[in-house]
Amino acid sequence: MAVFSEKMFPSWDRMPPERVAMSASAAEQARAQARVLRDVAAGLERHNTGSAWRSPAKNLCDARVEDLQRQALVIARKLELWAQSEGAASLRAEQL
Amino acid sequence: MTEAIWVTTPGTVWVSEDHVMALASHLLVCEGTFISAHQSLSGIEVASRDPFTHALQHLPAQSLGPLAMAVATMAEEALSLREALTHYAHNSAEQERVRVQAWEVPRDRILALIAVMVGGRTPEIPFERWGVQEAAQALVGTPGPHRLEVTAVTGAKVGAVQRGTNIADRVGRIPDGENPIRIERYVSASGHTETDVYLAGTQEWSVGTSAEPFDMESNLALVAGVSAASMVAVEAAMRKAGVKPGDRVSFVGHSQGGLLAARLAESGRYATSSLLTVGAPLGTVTLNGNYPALAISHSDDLVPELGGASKPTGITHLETHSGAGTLDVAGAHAREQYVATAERVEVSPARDSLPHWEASGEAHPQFFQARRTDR
Repeated sequence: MAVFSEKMFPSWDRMPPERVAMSASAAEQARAQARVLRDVAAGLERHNTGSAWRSPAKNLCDARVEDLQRQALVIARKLELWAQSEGAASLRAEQL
Repeated sequence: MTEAIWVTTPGTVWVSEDHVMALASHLLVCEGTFISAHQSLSGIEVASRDPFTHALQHLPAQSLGPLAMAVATMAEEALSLREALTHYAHNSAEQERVRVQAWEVPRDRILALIAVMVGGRTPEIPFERWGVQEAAQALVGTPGPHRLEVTAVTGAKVGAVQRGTNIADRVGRIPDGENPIRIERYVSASGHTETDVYLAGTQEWSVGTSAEPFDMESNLALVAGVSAASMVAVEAAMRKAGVKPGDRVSFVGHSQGGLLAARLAESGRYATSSLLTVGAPLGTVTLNGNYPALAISHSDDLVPELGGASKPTGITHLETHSGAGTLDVAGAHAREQYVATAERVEVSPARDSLPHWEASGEAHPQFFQARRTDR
């Protein structure tokens, strides 16, 4: 007995080539934006609010910069994972 | 520990440490990048998933919408953060203006009063408006025509040089000693001639007794805004080097040389292409700065203070501690100490916001001496 059948998944072996190409392109674009976000995070890493400014506002700014940097990395990672899945999906569809 | 470098932008609109300014600039870049990333992510077309892929639980998101929205939120946060830094820098600028009014202006009035008592000449304006400029005028009076001999130094052993393109290199080229004027003329790739004029500081600290035009008398005259022998000497040297009115000239100077550079840059006689001063008493000079301009001073250097209360100008000021020992007044003002500071400025995170100089061909530096012939 076939585990998978065309009846169960009518489209699995008929993913149109344009959809495959679209997935690959989307994955590449997402990866590119992930790289951009990682660059931004690296840029933020190189900056700080110096040593002369001393006030609670400075501490708050420091924390916000750190948070922005962390968010950029988190979203970059999510985009990379998304691109990985998207790329895998298009590759699988091609192979099928 | 490295001393902080404070940046005051033209008009005293922004006062902060260089790190804060660089961060604010970077946040502006971040904001633009996030907006661009948001637009790109929003524009990505996602192919609908086939059931097989769903069944394998690889869960590619059907939409990048949530991530795109998160990036848009980050753009807003970058903007908000930059505004917080701007608010801080504007407050610092306001505090600086208050400090000048509360401390430097009264200090200058007292200096003027002392100078008037010593000089014996009373300014014609009311006492409430006396300042360092009036004090200098009281001391120096109205200098007569300056009789000078300006000669090119032929024995100076400096080969052809590339144009100084960074701050430390340019400060390092300021002459020190017997030949206080250095002129380099370059022809750029586009064919126009660019002249760099480097001017030394005070060579003689007496008033009215020395044949040296870079003396205290010239200092007072420059602060007073009247004719100074050193200014006449520099312009004579420039003419000898082939510089004509209207030519593109970049001025660089230390101490009195910086004050001379500023006055020449603002004279309107040349197409000033940049100004760089270190340790210069610029308080009485009106600097419109319609060109890239930077003034560097040490917070422990007394000489820049002698120029009077700092007022908003059209140029960028940097201030930092010299690193010289406590009470080392000469060290804090020394050209070598400013070269070291310029090297720190060169690697400052705010460097991109400061003037840059284009590379050019080679030039043979010309050095000039000047003597008063009436003493």
